[in-house]
Amino acid sequence: MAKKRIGKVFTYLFLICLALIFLVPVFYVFYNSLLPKRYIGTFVPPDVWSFDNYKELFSEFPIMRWYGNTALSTVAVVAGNIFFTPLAGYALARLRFPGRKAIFLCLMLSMMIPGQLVLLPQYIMMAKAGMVDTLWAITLPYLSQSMFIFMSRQFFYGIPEELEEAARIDGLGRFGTYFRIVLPISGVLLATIAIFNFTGTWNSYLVPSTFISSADKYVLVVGLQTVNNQHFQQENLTLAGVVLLSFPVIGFFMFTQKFFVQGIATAGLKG
Amino acid sequence: MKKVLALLLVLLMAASFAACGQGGSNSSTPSSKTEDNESSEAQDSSQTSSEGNSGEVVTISMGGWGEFQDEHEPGTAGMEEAIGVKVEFQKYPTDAAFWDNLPAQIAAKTAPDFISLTNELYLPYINDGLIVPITNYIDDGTISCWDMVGQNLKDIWEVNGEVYGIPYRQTPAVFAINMDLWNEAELTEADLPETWDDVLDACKVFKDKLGMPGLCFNTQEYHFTQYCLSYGGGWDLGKTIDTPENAAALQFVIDAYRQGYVVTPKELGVSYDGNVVMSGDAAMSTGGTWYMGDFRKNAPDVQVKYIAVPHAEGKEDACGTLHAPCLSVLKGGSHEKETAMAINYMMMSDSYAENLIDLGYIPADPDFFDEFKEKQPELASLVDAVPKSNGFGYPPAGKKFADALISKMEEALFNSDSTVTGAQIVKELQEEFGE
Amino acid sequence: MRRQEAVAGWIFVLPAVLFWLIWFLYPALKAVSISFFQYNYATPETNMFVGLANYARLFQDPKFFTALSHSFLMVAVVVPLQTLLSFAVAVLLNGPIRFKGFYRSSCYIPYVISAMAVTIFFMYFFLKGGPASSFFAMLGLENVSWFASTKYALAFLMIVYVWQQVGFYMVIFIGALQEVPLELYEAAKVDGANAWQRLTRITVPMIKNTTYLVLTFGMINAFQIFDQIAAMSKQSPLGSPSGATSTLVTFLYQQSFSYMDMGYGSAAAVVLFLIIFSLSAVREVLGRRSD
Repeated sequence: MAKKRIGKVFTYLFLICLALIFLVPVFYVFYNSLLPKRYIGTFVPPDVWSFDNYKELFSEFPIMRWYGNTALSTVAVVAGNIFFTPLAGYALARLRFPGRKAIFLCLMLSMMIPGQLVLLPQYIMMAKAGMVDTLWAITLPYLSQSMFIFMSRQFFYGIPEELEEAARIDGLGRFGTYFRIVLPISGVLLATIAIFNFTGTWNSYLVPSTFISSADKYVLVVGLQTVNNQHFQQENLTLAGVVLLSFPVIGFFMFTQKFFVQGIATAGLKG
Repeated sequence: MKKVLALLLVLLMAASFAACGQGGSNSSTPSSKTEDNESSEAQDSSQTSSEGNSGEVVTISMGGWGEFQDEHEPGTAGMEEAIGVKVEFQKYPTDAAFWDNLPAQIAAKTAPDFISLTNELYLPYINDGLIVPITNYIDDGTISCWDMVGQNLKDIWEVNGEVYGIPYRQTPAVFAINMDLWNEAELTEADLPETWDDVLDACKVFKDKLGMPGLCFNTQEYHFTQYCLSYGGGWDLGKTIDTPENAAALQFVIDAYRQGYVVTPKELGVSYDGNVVMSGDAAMSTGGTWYMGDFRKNAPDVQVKYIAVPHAEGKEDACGTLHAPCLSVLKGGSHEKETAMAINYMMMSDSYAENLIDLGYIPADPDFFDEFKEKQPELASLVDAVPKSNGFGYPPAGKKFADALISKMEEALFNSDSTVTGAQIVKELQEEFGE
Repeated sequence: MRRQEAVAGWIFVLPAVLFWLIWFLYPALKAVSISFFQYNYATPETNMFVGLANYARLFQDPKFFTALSHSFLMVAVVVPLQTLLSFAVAVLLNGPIRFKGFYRSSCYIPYVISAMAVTIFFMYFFLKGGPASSFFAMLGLENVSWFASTKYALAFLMIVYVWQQVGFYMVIFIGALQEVPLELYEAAKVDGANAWQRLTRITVPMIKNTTYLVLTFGMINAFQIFDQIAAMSKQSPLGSPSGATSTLVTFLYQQSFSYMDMGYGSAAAVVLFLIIFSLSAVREVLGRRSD
């Protein structure tokens, strides 16, 4: 019993250290974002702390507009991926149809090609379609990402088939089985896709900085790059910008956490 | 095994598709080109007619990044009424976001009509045809301001007999000194350096009295070039890379760094030398008059003195670079003539030049020199340095050369075991980039 | 029945395939074909077919081989490290622990912050005399700014990268661990298996699919690191200092974008693709054999 308790103490100590390693830099950023430029990187008493950096960001740059653009494109992309990719992943894992293997291989290939390579050909296509410098350019091509199809396929391989068979005996078609039986027990998958996709899209820089070139259509990451002058670095504003950028994503993660808990619940029921 | 075979098949298919695609686009190139010609002719004719009835306003765009709009907007005041051209400013997030995608933008016809281009790494853009020569607009009188540009600026912007842009301002290199630190180290005005040896003496004082490096050295081609020129060297478009002067200049930097007299912005995690001088991590740095505006905005209480870049012993005539950005027309715009008109209008506008003076820049037109001296007394001596200053003279490889130079110097400075010498560096560069 | 299944299958994958065809296949083929050309988008009139010349050039370019070796080193160090770490953390956090949500969130938070931002503030820690570099100096390393040292810059990159990615793979592992039926563990306990045996004999085989996923993602992503390097390089050439952090992706970016040598950069990208592809294929074949 004593041995067990010591083990527990060590586990918690380890976990606390772990949490510190991950959290200290994050808090350090937040702390620094409260300081005027000349105090950055030093420890000063709380009376110097202020939200001036944030005020300056909001008053000098269209932050709300950039938030809006980012949120709009991110939500659209996440919605697309949550709908399209489990659908394809399910078919690739469960349904037998000609071309299945070829399709899977092709999708895999597209994960292996560095994104930088296809950036400019995509740009030219978009220009022809009149999509350059609109939010379409950073939304439409990313509605179905191979990475999540792959993830879904692996997920569906892992869940037992009996449930679907039972449903089909009850007379549900393929679509009915998928939407009524399979999707409701795929909370973990959907939450995982949502979290990763949300994070990736929210923070992506290269794509929006290539496809969008007017300030009122910037997403937040790109807009924050313009906070620095041509030469001068405004670390204080940059840090405040990082906080503004990150906290919606952290919030989103906390929110989707719940679905993981639900995931456990359904898995328990199922077993 | 089957899967691997399938993959190979897919690859083969891909390759054959690609070949077809390429063939198709190749054969279509000439036809699309003729289309372009036709459409631009059509535009030419519509232009002449629009000039005739002067009712229509043509909108063109100027691309840039940072605070470029503050610099250029005053030049466009009243342009719409005067010549029927309206300039819109298109702000790119960063300079990289602009340059990296410029070829694709030109191909997709989404590029701005004109930009401000500096005379540093400009040759690849000119040689690759991204910048349109404007010689014919000077010949036909659309651009009349070329004559008022000083001769050394003309030399910079005339490449292979064609003019590629109209310079609007010029900045000789300066040596900036944080006087707060200077005084703290108990140095006086009389100690202000004239030679690099003087700089080293000051560095010793900083090291002994304040325990800090005195000199900030930014590992960027601009700063390397100042050192080389002040040693009587320079690149001369790649003809004179491997010279004893250049070797000695780079060796000076390496030695001073090894002795702990130098700090680089890179090690402090910043990219701009002005940051270092402002934050007081070093007292001296090579720089330009853009320091003025930056300091006024970000560190108004720091006292800075701007003097001529020091020179090597016995090289009193050596002078630094002339940073001379110009307004250049980009390829692929559909309003070339209007763009030329707009550039000319801006250059002829007094409010443009006066705004530049307020920002601490010397306008390209010598008529404004006296006004500049009057309004910016601390920088007045720079005006006299203009005629002596040089272009950067980078080899035609442009950025590739600059990156190679930086990489080699980074190896010499940031690898504590490195034995690389200045002489080795210039020799290797000459082999790769010499003309 | 069969036909119905086939039709349903095609309808299910159709949207994904359409997106793939339009937004991936066409641009990718275009890019691959560019690798056989001397190519600049802005000057179609001077683009020229050069056959395999770009590839031949690659194999004589020492910078390419430096980049290649860094990419491999990156993958070889980072993938095992992040997989083991994230698996260990996931197993711990899947156990009977209080405040699970808190620990999970703190591991995941680094991943949600933009890679550029993470790199920038890690640079504060690894400044000369900064907390992290001082700590490592006590262990006998040089007290320098890691990101500006040709010796330590790559290690710095790996630390930043792993720190940020562990949370990502942890989430995937936790998802998988939750799908393992608890009865299996109960049964094993009854049979007298200890914790280690339960881990290696039940957990590891049960989440095989996920481990495969994590390794594949890990490898593909580690080959494609870019944002962190770009943030480290700032106004210096990509892969600074002195190419110490250059990888295949920065190499191809530099050639295609900074030097406007599209054909050459695309050739490097094709080589990178072939490497990832053959590694995946080898893994696939080996995996089959061990089954």
